[in-house]
Amino acid sequence: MLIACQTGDTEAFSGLYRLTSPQLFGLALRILRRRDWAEEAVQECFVTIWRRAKDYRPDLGPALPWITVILRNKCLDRLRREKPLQPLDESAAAERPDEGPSPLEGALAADDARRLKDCVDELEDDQRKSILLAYYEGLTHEQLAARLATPLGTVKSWIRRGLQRLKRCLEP
Amino acid sequence: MSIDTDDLNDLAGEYVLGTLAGAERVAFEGRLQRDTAAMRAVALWAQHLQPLADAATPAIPAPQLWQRIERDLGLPTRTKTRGPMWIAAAVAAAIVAVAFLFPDLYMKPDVNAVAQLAPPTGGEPAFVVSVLDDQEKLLIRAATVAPQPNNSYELWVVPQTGAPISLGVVEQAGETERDVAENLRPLLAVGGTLAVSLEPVGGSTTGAPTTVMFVGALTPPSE
Repeated sequence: MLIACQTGDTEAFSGLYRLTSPQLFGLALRILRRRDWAEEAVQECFVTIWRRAKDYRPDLGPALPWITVILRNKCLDRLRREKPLQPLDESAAAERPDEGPSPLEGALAADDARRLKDCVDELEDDQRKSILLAYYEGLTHEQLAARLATPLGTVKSWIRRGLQRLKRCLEP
Repeated sequence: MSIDTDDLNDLAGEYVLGTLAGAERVAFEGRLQRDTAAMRAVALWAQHLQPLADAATPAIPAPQLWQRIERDLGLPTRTKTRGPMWIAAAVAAAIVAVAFLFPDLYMKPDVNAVAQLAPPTGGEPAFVVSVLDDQEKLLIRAATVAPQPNNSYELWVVPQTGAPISLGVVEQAGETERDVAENLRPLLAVGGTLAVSLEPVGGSTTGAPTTVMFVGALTPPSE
């Protein structure tokens, strides 16, 4: 579908939007916690997908992770541009999804998900906590250090060692 | 594996995770434009961490969002609406959300204090409020609440001195999650007082509670 977008196929592009936007919006809402910001992140994400579809390299991996990186980068840009504020409207808080799981790609993705979960479970508590906080709340090393009341160097090492351990576990 | 490769893997992992920030992030993004090894390392990490993205609960953005994207890109807008199809896709995605693969992958939030809000005259608690994550968040659970379709319930924190301060309208059923403004967090420590009032739909129009229905003190969470 993304390949079709590379050739300027607007039908494929709208199909990609229909297929992926609920999951991407859910993730953006999880990270940004504001409906207006999350919608803007998804909007910017799809604008970038269309403009940069030619940069996507199918030989390097599937499309959805490529799209997720773009979306999370939009979310991180927003978080780092603005100080977190209280949600402006009630709907933002009310509609913020709870953290239930929901693999988009069904059985195919389930194997990957289970493998990642097993590897995440094997991390030390501090490593797991800091990596998940970074992923779902978009925290920088400095923000993690403040949140976890831990020296910056220690947090950096939790993240780095945690990622190294994940990689060894996922790519034995 | 060489030291350079290890270093590249670390950088790529932190880039995908998002902890790589500031000048380091900008520098790495520059490298991504031209360095295939860096692109490959990022693609691999993106694939590894994708299940975390899949595990977020899907949500439905405003129907106008697609029009905004088309407008930004100057794409020809279709006259026929795709609404129903689009919603069907969203619902289908939500239905896929069945396999509970990550129940404990999410951190259990740190509960700082709990308040059971009951009628001042006594009786069952109507709302249970949990203060989470160093007073940054509230989880408000409607316990035994009489539905008031023509009114809203509004949550307030009652300082030792001064007027009650609104924490927003809360759902009459299920749970409401609320981020707490930084200046209000100290008021949500153990010993603080919360109240829920009955208000016109949308909340108090005066900035003060209209009819206080339920009150309760914040107590330490039970283990």
